[in-house]
Amino acid sequence: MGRNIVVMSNCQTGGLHAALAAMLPDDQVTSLAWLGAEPAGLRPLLADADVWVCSIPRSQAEAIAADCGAAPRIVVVPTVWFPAFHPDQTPLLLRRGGELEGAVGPYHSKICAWGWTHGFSVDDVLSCFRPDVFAGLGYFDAWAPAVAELRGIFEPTDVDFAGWFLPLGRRGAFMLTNNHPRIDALVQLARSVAVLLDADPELVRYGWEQVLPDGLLASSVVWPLYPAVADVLDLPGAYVWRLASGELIDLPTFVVRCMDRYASLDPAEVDTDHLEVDPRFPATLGTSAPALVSGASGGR
Amino acid sequence: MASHPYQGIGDHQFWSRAVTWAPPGGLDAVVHTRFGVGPDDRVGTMGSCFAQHLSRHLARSGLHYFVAEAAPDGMRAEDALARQYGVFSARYGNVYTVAQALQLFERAYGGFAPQEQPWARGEVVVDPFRPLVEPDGFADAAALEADRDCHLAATRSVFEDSDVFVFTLGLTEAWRSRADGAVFATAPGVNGGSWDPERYEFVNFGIDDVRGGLFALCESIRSVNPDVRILLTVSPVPLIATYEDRHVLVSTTASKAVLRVAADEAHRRFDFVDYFPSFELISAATTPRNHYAPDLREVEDLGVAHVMRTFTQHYVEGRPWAAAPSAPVPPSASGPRSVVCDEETVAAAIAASS
Repeated sequence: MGRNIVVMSNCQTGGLHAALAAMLPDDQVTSLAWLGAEPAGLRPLLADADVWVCSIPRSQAEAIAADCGAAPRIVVVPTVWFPAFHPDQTPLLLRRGGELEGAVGPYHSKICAWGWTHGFSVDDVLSCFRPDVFAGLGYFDAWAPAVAELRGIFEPTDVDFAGWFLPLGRRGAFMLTNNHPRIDALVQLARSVAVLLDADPELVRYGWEQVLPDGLLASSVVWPLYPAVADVLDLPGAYVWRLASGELIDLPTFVVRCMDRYASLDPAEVDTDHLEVDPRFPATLGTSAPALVSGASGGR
Repeated sequence: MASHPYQGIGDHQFWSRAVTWAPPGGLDAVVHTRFGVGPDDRVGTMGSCFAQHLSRHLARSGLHYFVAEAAPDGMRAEDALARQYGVFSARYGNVYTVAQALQLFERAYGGFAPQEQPWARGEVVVDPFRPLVEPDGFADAAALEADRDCHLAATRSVFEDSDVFVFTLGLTEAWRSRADGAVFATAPGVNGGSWDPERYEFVNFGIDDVRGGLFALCESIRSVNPDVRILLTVSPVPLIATYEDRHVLVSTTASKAVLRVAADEAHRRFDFVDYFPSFELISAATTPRNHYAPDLREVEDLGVAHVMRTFTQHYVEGRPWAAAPSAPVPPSASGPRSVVCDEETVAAAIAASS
């Protein structure tokens, strides 16, 4: 008789569940997503759970388990956040609460957002997508701080950072967006958990990346590797956004759609403080249009 | 606590800090440089096919790529390229071996006059020492001789007038004349001439030959250009074929090892010589990316770009080596996150994962 394993994470849940189920075929793996608050069906599941794989703080997990009289083994996994491949990407929070939906879901371009809040035209914004601007904004130096931050995210979890990260680092871009790992990254995360749960080593090693569907890839946004950013990572790049609908859009289309979306908003409604306090943005982009000489824009 | 010699050494000396955690495009094996390359420095180039990448990068990068043997006025760019004008600083074609380079120096200054006569290629003749620089060949030996005189004059200028001379070591295997030891760029019969085992022989230069030849080459160039700085590199491009009766990978490894050791010893011997690790950046299995093309021989553009970026950072911009930080930083250092997707997004991902 296998163990009851409950997997609870954010948008990582699907891939993590699929990979753990594959590596632990004798166990019963169940999953549910944590969407910022305790999901309704959690406690009944925990009551019968032998293992609870979750990506909430351990103290919070222990409190929930104790509160419902359950005593599963708790395995804390990280919520992966890695902006090194997409340093221009940012969420935009509404000051009244919630996230701003943009041209490609909840993801926005810092350059577009800055341009909008400072009165840039579409052409002004387009002209900013060029290597010297990226350099000024620190996009070429994003790797080291992103690694350091991710290391910090892993520290309080049960997953060894080096064991997860180093195999992925050789595989190219393992993030679809800053918060959505590719299936490779989720399989690697599952391997760490499966080892902790005494899985068959052969099943842990197996190339599940080539077997399991990538649910996030199939159903959500893929942010591009900007060519100049990709260059410094020794990766191929292109300005192509893949929308959740599957549509592919190029840079001019992306910028036009972003600016159209923002046109109905008052910049004061949107929290861009993280850009305003970053001295690289005014220094590189200026605070009023036209900030830069037009000339560089990109298609695919 | 007991002390030991590794206490206090640099991050670049520890594998974990210098290699394991290097960013994907940021593996940087240059720690110390003996000189920089300024915009006014005339940079001469010579070497194997990989050196052509460096020539092209120099020509595009705003540095002074020194071309002593320029295409005649009015020649179309594609014709000039086909005739190898500008491919290197003079039209010597690929100089694969140290022996070939040293003999070129000696020929340029009259110290060596090979007995080898022009090679026939159909109705025309080609220069045995650079058989590919004239795709259509020379009409006759006199035309070849006239062009060679101009070429050797330009070659002297490369040696004498370069502020920085970049030499990329490519091979140890070569073919040479039994008569006087003249070393050719290609085997007789491949790009002209005819194969005659009575006249030609295969040679695979060993470490003593290559080291001695490289020392002599550095000293010779310095003798005509006392202020020249020499930058040595080793081509990461494997042998296209070996004439040794053994696996081509084994020959490649042996050949590159000899070249790498010779470059290392030249670097240790001469304070005007520096070594740039293009070989290490591309060919080591420990690099974060495989930079070889699908044929596992040619180097992909991204790899070339990595090498050139590293060269520019250190030799042009003077940027110091830096280790990747290893300490964790608090979460949220990169600004607000969007880690809670909406229900539809998560549900769609879960459905698509199963």
